[in-house]
Amino acid sequence: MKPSEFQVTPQPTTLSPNATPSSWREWLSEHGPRLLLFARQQTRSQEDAEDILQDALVKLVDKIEAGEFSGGQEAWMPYLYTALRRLAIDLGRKDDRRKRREDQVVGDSIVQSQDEFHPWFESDTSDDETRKLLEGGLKDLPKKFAEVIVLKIWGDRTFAQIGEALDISPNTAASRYRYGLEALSKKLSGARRKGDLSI
Amino acid sequence: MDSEFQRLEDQLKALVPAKLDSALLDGLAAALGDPSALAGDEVAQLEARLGRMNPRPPSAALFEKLAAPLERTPFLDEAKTVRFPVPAAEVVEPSRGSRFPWLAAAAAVAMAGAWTAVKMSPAAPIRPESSAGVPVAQNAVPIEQAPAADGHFQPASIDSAVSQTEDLGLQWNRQAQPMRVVRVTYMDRMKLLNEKGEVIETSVPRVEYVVIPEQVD
Repeated sequence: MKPSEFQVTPQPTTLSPNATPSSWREWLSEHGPRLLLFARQQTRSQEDAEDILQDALVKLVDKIEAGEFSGGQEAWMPYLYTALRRLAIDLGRKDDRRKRREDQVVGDSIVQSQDEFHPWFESDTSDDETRKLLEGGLKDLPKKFAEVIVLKIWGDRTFAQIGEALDISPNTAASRYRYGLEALSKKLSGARRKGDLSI
Repeated sequence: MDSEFQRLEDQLKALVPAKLDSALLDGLAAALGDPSALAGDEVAQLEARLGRMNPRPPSAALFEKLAAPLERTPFLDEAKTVRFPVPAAEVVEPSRGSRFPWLAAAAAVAMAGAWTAVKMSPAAPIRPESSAGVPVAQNAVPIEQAPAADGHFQPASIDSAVSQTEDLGLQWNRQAQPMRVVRVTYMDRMKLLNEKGEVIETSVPRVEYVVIPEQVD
């Protein structure tokens, strides 16, 4: 008699997102803000940030269309963060440095006024001062600290993923995150003592 | 007189100052502040506060500008996509194997622990011939026990294999030492037989977390 086999294989529990985007617009609504934040952190202006974000998204779509993108939806964000960083570096290199120096005085004031019209974070009127202080502190941090903080807190990346995006080791990413937060905390200590910052 | 002073000096040198009592020590520590603890608290609060800030979404015009090139490509809806099944015993290798030797080390430690647990099972081995021709898994530990005569199922073999390893990143302990956390997923399989030769196979995932001190340059 042939043995009959009963296979009882409980499926491993996998957690799926509560709201999986089903269209580009939904996906962009969910991830666009954090991508724009990283792009803004990597560039000098809102305009440059928007440009590299658009370029990065087009690169992603081109790869998907050509069948060259390996991985599912979960691989999009790591790809985009890496692409944004590389595009920002390329953009910086392409700038005419002599022209930048000549325009430095005018340029800085333009950038500063743009920042006021293009804040990086949402806030309500009651919390705007805190938002400005934190945002200003983050902008003043050395880039190598700020980019890790942005990816860790708002990009929700692990240190290994941050290492991949920034081409550094996970250990370096973790160290920069910790030092960055400590540096930011020290920078804000004056405001804290004056009572302007409640954290 | 000099010798008397010398003797007195020697006696005084032999005295040891009394230790501060714990209440005074606590008070002094609070007044001075523990820099690492304070820094840790402030940093943790700052981190939490930053996390409550939401990145500003793109403007409506920018959103449309970004969405336009995306919508020419069909969206990969994960909920409606069925992936090809991955073999249960497949171990996920890091993309840059030599860059993460600790992952292989963690997986090796985990497998050694699993194999030890299986080998230490109190059940005695049975001969495969008694299982009515049903093959026993190659790495499985057979259990020596005659199938029950009343049709009830008895364990025939058990084995455990690492099915997936995942790097969860670094965590910092109280001593400010970085510790790498790796999630190791096992698949514990058991095969049960009855006297009729019917077989039930169970596969149950089991997760363990391996914490490895990270080497700091």
